[in-house]
Amino acid sequence: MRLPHNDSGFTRLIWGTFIMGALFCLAAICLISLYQAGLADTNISSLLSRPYFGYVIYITLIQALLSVILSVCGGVLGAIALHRRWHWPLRRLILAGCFMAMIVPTTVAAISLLKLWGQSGFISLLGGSAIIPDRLGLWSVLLAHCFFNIPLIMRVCLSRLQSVPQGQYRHAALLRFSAGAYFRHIEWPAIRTVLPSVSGLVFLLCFTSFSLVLMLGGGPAITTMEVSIYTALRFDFDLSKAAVLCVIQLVICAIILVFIKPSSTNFASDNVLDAAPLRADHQSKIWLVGDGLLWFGLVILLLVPLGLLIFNSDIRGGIDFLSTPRFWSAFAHSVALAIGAATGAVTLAMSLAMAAAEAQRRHWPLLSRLVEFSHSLFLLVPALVLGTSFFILLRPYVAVFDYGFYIILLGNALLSLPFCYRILAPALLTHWHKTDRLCHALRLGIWQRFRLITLPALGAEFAFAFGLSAALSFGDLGIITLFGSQEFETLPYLLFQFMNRYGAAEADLLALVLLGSALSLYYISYYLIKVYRGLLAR
Amino acid sequence: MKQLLASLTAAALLAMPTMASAKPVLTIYTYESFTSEWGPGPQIETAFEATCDCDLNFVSLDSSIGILGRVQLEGASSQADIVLGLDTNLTAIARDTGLFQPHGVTAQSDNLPIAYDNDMFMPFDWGYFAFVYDKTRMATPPASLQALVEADDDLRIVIQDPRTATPGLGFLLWMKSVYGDDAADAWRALNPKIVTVTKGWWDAYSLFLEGEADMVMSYSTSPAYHQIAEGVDQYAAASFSEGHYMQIEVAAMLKNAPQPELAKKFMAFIQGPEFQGIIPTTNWMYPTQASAIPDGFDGLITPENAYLFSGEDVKNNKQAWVDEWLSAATN
Repeated sequence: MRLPHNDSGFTRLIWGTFIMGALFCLAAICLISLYQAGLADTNISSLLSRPYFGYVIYITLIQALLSVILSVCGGVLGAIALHRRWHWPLRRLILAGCFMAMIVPTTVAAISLLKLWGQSGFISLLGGSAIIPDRLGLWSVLLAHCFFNIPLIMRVCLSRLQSVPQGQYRHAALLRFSAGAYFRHIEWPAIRTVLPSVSGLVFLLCFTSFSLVLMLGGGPAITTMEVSIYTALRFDFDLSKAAVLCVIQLVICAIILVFIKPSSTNFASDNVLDAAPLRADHQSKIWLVGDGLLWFGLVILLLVPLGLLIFNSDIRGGIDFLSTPRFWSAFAHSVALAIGAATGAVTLAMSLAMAAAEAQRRHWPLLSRLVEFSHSLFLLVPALVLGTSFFILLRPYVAVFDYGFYIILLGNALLSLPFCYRILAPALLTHWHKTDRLCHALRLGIWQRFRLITLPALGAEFAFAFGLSAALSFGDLGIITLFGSQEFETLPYLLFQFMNRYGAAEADLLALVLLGSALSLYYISYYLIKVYRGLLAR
Repeated sequence: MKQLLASLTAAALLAMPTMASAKPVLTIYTYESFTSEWGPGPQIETAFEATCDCDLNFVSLDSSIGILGRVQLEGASSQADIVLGLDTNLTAIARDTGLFQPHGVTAQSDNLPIAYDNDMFMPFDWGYFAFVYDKTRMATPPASLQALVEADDDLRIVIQDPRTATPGLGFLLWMKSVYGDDAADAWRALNPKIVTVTKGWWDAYSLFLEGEADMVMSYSTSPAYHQIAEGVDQYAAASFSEGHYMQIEVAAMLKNAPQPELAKKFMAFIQGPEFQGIIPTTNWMYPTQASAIPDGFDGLITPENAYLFSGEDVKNNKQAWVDEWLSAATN
């Protein structure tokens, strides 16, 4: 059979399936190289019997569990309080803070949080040093995880609350529901449907947390398996220990992934959160105070640290650093990584979505589910595990450190793939469905179709996906800790080097540059899409 | 698709390293404070380049034990000619990696506290580990390690991670020298006073200077920096009655050094008057040559008793001792 030269679903299917195959192969290669490295050494049992080894697994689980509980409580209560008091001032600011938390690099968050909560932070300055623990530890890691995950859970819950049919709220108003009744009959049933998947995602993110624990853990007592993998590899040069840790982490993540299917979490885009809900809650004083406290808590958690970083940094001392080649080289590396990884992630997500849609259309459910699953494969294989296994795999043949850039590029693309896919896939599926006949009639090729129809129509989604991945990889501090050196640095790596140092002014400045750049990358991608649409329209 | 590829390529090109100059390049891996603008790196670079018609390239890594880890990770393909900044505690472990080669230079130090002659590892400076404190904030420091261990828990100290930094390992070995089999209990008693465990020496010292801790694990020679370079007399090293652990810092050349001749030349240069003259007032350690001792070093504490494990002992026990510390640190 001769394939027609225009966009045939079959080409899309083949291409997407190929990408899926490549992702599975990559994961398999990682596993095999880890397995070999682990086997090369035969003292695995003696490794497992070392007390610290068990402690690492234990504390990783405890930390992740506590992070999830705190984030879920905070996120759900925050979402309800925000939804109930939609008309209160600062709502937009809090939502902006929620949005920022998606983009803020971990290094920037760590510095900002310490500006408020640190030993010489704002709270101790105000005389509250008694309530601040005198050293970093579990509390600081949990705080940072809340900073990132409460907004995530809030966004998901809020958009779920927004999607509750308005009739229900009207009935509730007629029946003069109390806050408890709202919760029982409307809020909880709605939130319950999204909670397992989003808390599963949060658990995975906290379980595999690396940079935050590295920066805020305060010593060997608070660690994660990711951090131990890094220590084993970077300082003990213990490949088998690193490999064993990787494998244990993979197994635990896989179990979690199977049970709670975090892949169904949807990320609300901003416009969903703009419409005011039609609620007329029966106001009781206690809840008024409670909601006030919750709002206050959200402001303290999300907005004050970043505010302190932006408005209360002594950057004058560090400004000279901006004229050094070291800064600009790190900046160039970061920008290149961000653009490259975002392009990669969007391309991968689109290819997978195409294949999933096509397989669905042809009623091949197994293939469609496999393709769907492959995008979250690298939630399971975190960046550091990927970096480690690449390292073990390539080391006998090439000078791996010369390829650090490309390994990080790949790692970052795969890191943001799950987010990209979830933003793009639902929109793409509906869009393709709608425009299939038209494009077929016009005999548009796959690339023409993308350029002329898909990209302009789904500009907002593409900009969101691209901008988010670019910002994520711009701020990522993961594999770079393995491959970084004076000759190859990125901005987050540089900031990590300066943190907790004499160079506090440089660190503040770097944090601001990082934050500004990540936000710019995000908004520039929106702007470019707008320009592109304008050009097409002419 | 073309545009996508083009942007990818552009991104990759942006990140390409710049081309090196035509002169042969001698690459030395070292720790961060060595290459900082106030460290010995810049002066040593100028001094050596004047003698060799080459480029000396210091690559600074984030911690001292990280230097060894890095060359182990890079294996035979490492670009390094020399590693500078390990110490005698690590020499047996480093020798076992098979990555180093004899330097072929006759050691002729006349200012080392012990006789040290090793065909592979060349000492470049030495010192005593000590806790440094701020006299304006602490009138009477603990007079012994035991007093420190048993001090009230509101005393705040900062130490380095023995897995990543030589001072951290040094302190671990100091504890072991003094407490032996009771070290685990001593660690548990000390634990509440440890504000944080840092990756490298510089991180810890900066935290101390910023006032985040009362005492920092450093060297008996550290106060000299404040006296000589800053003209400030407020910092001192606490003298401990049990004695202090010693550190001899060493350099070694790699078996697969891309520039073996230059590397050999540098190994000899380490003992020379220029290198030794630069070290005391930049790295703030004792030189290996008596003639290089500067004036301001007279007022420093000099312990009567000094400890030092052999590299072999450390190699055989490091894992167990680090595990002992980890267990104590985590309960």
